[in-house]
Amino acid sequence: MQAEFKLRSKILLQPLVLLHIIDAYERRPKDCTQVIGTLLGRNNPESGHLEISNCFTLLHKDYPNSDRIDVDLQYANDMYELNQLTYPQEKIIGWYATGKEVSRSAVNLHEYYARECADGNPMHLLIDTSLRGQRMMMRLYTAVVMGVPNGTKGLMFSLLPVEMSSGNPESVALNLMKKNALQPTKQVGRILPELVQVVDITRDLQTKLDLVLRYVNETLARKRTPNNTVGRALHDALTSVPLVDAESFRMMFNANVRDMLMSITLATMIKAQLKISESVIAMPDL
Amino acid sequence: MANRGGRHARTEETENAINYVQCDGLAVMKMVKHCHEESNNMDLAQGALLGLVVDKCLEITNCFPFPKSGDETMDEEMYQLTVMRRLRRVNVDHLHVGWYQSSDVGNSLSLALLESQYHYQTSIEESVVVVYDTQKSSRGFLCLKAYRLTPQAIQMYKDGDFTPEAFRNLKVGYESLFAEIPIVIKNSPLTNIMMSELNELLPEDKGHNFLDLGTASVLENHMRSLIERVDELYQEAVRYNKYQQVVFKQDTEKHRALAKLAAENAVRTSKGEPTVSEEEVIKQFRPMPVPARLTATITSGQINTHAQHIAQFCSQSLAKLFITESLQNAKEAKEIK
Repeated sequence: MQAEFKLRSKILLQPLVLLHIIDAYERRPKDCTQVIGTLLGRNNPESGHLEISNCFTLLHKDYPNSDRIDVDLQYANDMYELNQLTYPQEKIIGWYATGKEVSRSAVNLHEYYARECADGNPMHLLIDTSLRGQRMMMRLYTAVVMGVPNGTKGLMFSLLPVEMSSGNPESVALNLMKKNALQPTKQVGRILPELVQVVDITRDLQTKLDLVLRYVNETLARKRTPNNTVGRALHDALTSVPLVDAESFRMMFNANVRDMLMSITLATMIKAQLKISESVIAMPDL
Repeated sequence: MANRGGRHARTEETENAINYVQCDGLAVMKMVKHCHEESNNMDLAQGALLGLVVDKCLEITNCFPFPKSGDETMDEEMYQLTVMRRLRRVNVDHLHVGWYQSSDVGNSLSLALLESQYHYQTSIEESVVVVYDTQKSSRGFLCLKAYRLTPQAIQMYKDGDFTPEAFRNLKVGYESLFAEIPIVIKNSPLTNIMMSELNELLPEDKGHNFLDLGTASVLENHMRSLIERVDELYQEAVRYNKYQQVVFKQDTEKHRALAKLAAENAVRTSKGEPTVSEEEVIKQFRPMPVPARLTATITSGQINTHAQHIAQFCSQSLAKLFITESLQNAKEAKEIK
């Protein structure tokens, strides 16, 4: 069992799953302190790593200070089947829960998911929504059997390394949300026009350049001890700008600018034409 | 001026239902995932939006995908009901507030979309359609747009009358078929905390590919679909012109016949014979069916959005080009030194 996890060196986690868990936590029933649910995943065709790509919440009732937990299994099955209709490639790979630590009911849940899981080796994602230590902790566990051979055996939940995975489009959406989360402005959550996005990133670039410039100047003025790694990284960045000879760059630049201006003109003309044609048709009969 | 005043009044009418759409991050991510997965299979992704209406704001808090349309054996309504019932049990908002669809630029505002949205809006008044542009988003610009049909468009579709007169009377034009509703993405504080945790885990360089300079192919695609649409509109225009010619010809013939009749009648009255009524003649000329304006209007709308997209795209490309220029200049200046 353990050998398998070593081969499967990386487990990727899609941010969608985290968003889902937090949403579920915020919508939990009044008398519930935690939420649990099934994790669904598949093999990422690009990287070959296992990817946790989806999840759904379960109805359950937990009893504090005991390992008893009641889960609506019928509901779990129904949800899985409904998900199969839209994402047939996603299989059950484990479960998630919120809480400070692995709960006492985890052993029971592990048994259930070991039956449901294709490889009999479910994973357990734990999210600390109580924000202990001012952080939101996310951990992925797998249960390892331990104990004396032919004797008492128990389960130990050991940590698995996990990495965030997100395809490009997801990152685009995430970047936007991140910006809103980190610097709440007046226009919260507006989807910005393209030009504004480019302007924004240019501004970002400028602040970064200022930072680098300050660093370089300080180093030159012997105020800061030089760091070889930083120096090399800077050198790499500088040399990564390809040198195009002036003539061909002009050519490229001019051709592109011409194309763009032409397109804008055309687009504007077409818009004007549309307006005219509609007005002509809508003209009342004389 | 009168036209502008009219449009203002119209926007007020639509504002009565919903001012803006507030979308949860979860719903956005779910849509992004579903649409891109389907676009890998070259399919159109569609799904339902769940949420609630607060004052004049439509909150989209969750969504679920529709199963692939190829499966005919499944009852789609049944599926939707089951999913909603299941989600309701875990306290997800179960008000069906609209639907989403993946699409590429501009082509989204089609007749099919108008029809479906008409059915949605007549059954649930507040519903919206969210269009997610996969192509644009994979180039680094998140492109989510919410649309609703304007009251005039609904009236027009309800009457089923697509003649130019009906369009004129209802003041429907290509710009007033669909009303775009601004979308705002909002996350709960707990999600925002999670986002800042994610900030450390996610690679920095992802999602910035909108600085890509290779614009020719994109522009080409835009142009190609624009040309297609313009061709379609041209066909419609030709049809309309033909109709006008036929009507004109018929009119002249009618006038001639009427003049002839009047002359004959004058002769008849002078002879004291009974006159032939004009209606007899008019009956011979049956009025021509007026070509419907709906397709042309929708195509115009599509062309309009295409043109807007192209203008937007070009302006940001120009900005990027000028950034590169300054880089190049700096490099050249260094070379000279």
